[in-house]
Amino acid sequence: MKKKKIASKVLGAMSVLTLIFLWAPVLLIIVFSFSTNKYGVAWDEFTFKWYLKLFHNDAVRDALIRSLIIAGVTVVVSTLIGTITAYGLYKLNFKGKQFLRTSILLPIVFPSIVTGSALLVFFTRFIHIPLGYPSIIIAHIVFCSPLAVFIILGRMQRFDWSWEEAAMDLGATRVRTFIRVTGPQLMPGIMASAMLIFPWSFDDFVITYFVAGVGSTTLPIYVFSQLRFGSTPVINTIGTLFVALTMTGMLLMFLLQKKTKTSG
Amino acid sequence: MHALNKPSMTQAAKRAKRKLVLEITAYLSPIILIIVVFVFAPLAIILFFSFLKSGEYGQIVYSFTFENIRAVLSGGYGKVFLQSLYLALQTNVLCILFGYPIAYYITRYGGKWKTLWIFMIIVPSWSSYLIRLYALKTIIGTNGIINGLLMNLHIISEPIQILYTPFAVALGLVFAWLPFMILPIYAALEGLDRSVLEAATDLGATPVRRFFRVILPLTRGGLLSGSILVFIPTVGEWLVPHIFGGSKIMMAGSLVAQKFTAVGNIPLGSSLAIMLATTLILILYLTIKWGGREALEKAI
Amino acid sequence: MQASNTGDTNTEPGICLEVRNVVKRFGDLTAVDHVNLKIREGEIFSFLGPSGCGKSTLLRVVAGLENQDLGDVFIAGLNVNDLPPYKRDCNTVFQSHALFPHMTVAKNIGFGLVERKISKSEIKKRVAEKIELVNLGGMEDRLPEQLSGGQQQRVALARSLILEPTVLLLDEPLAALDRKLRKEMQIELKRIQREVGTTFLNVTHDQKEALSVSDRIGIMNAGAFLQIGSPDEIYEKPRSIFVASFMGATNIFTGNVVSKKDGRIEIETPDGLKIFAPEPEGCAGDAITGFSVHPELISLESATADAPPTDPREQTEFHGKIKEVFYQGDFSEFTVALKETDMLMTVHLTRGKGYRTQLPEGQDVTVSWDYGSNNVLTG
Repeated sequence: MKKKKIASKVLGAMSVLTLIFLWAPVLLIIVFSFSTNKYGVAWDEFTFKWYLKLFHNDAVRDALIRSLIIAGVTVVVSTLIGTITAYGLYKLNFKGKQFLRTSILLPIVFPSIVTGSALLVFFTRFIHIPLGYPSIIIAHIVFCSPLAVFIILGRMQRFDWSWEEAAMDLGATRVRTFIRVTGPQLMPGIMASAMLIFPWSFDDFVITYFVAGVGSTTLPIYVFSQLRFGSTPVINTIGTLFVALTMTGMLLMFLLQKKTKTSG
Repeated sequence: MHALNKPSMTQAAKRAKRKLVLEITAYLSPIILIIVVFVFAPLAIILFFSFLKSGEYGQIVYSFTFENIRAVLSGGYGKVFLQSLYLALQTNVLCILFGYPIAYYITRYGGKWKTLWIFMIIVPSWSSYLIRLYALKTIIGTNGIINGLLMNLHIISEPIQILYTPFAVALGLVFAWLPFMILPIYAALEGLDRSVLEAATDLGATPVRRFFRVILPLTRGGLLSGSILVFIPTVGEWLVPHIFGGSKIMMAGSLVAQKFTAVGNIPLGSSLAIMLATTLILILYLTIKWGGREALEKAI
Repeated sequence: MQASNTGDTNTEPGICLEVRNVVKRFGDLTAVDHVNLKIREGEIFSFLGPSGCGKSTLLRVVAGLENQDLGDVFIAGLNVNDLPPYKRDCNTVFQSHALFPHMTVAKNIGFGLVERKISKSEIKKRVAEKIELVNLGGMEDRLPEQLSGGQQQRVALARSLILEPTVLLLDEPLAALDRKLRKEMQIELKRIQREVGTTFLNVTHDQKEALSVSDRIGIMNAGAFLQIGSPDEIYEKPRSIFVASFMGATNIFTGNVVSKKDGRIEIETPDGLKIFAPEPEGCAGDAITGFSVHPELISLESATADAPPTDPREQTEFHGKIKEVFYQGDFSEFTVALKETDMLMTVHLTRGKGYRTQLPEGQDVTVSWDYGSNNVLTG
């Protein structure tokens, strides 16, 4: 009995240390973003001035708006594609389905650097898509829609499809069935995928960096360009905003999941 | 009877087939288009480019050569590739060593805090990777809080160099990818049937023996999923060596980035990228063969 | 045949559903194998069979949720082969109820009427009627998750009945309920059917349920109907070994007809046992393959040495020894090892008149029954 207790204590201590390892750096830059220390590496006094500075910085504002537009478009398109693809993959059986599923996984598991460089060459040397919004948005859809497919597919596997049959049996056409029954039931899953994809697109650096071209600075690219100057309080504030965004998305998703659990 | 039925059967079959083709087109053509045009085609293009020459000013010369491929497989580049594989393996092992205990702890002793624990693991995995690396750099930098602390405690008199060392790169890699190992292991542990564990104890297995004979084999799938999520992106890392290794420690991804952005030798960059892609496809193929396709999909 | 080839109508009076030569395959498995069936207007017809016999698949073919590989389905005389489920004049009550979890009871029941673009006030009126029919007054605004299993069942029933289909299809709707509730719902089901007069096509694997709710039963196995008839026909005169054993006539003997006289036939088993049975109508002697006896028709006596022999033409009598006794409460089940052969017989003795508890295992006994209880099997 005693041995068991010690074992659990040791495990607990290890777990807490691991968690600290994962969180301490992030928490510290959040703390430093409110510190007057001008290198952003220590705690001096409390201040909001870096945030004010951030909002008056035109470069940051431009990058932020650009990132929001890209993530917004990506979320809408990827979620749409993800929904119909997941539906098709779930419902249809055909030769080559397994191959298609594996192919869809490729953009998710492949290192960003391969995807990014291949797309760069493809855009500039082959189909001549202008670098900027079009190339970035396409690239984001390429790696975000597969993710949407598998998130929504996961939900569909837990869905009770007799609802759909019941609706059709009661006189609803396929389209009406989707609008009245399947859609509302899958909505939490679709929303969850949107909420996961938004930060995934908003945060992406590597692929975007490759296909952005000159002048299309997104927020992560801006952060990267500032890195060579070392740590700065302004990047701390941006980092804080990033973390806040992810946490909000995650919290919303957890709440959605809880809601579907209790009503399902 | 038969004469009457036969045509109606083939008709029904034809109808079903036509319907299937129509449905595949309706539901799956967008994703097929994306995969074919923006995944397969670009890979094919860089495969093609990797056999071309690079001109003096970085332009592409359309003449066939094996030179790039040879360059990639030999000497300095080959060494960087091996180094990447080694670093990825090391990261994977370290992630398992640090990740398994915490996943196990959350499953067994998480209790009512389970959701919070998992939330605290998921958030870093979805937070901006760039920002997290930046945060770690801030801490271990020359002016960072670690050096500051050590100096204040008079353990050292001068800042020690942590950045741009192999240790920094290893630390950065584990820091970046650890959450992706914890989550699949946790999912596998959580999926274990409690009665199986009880049966093992009932049949006389000590906790340690039970772990190695029952729990570990049953969570192999989770370990495999986690390894796909950690190992494969790590081989292609660029940002971690860039931020934590400076120009001193290079990985395969660094080379690709260098050739595409700074140097501008697209054929050589392409062959490097193709080499990387081929290695990873091979690894993925072996994983699927060994662990089944499920491991790959469960990873997501 | 003409109709199935060219026409779309079939106007045989009194038949509201016809299945003609329907085949449904899943890969190598033939789930429904050349089935022909006619359902009469206003009856409760049950497909009864073990799981995997194809009964649910046949129902789903009728509903249009599966497409048959071969054959035709007519509903109210109309060929519906090419109609999707939402255009067929039949509705289904699903085993899992399949209530829409995001809609209230009233919304669930009114679902189909909204699709028919019926005015809101009319929908409200008809929903209220159906809620009363299924005794769910006061539950209108509840969500499915707030209802008990039996109540969910009622909602599912009302939701389908409100569309006034020609045939209501019930896919094992009572299987998920516990025993007491199931009994209650069987009575409800019959009451509601008698009230609305709609034809019910019920799928079940529960013999008791089929016997108590149906007007006619079709016994299915391996994708085909083995016997169709009224509950008493099916139970008392099973035609084949499968039907006999499925309906609980556990004492089954194979044998051939050896003589025929005075409306009686004599059957001899391979072991040499001879019994008499009433001569079945319209059945050639050489088609007969054996006979069965229900265990509750058999009487059981302690064997006495000086008992007078009985007339085998009136009474079938065998001798044996009690091997095991299973106490069941309202009756006891005895397994008797026969002396004449190495077969075992099952005998049920109901508590009440003539009920004996002092028949221990190992006791020598005489089993006997009226010759009329011998039911002739032909397959």
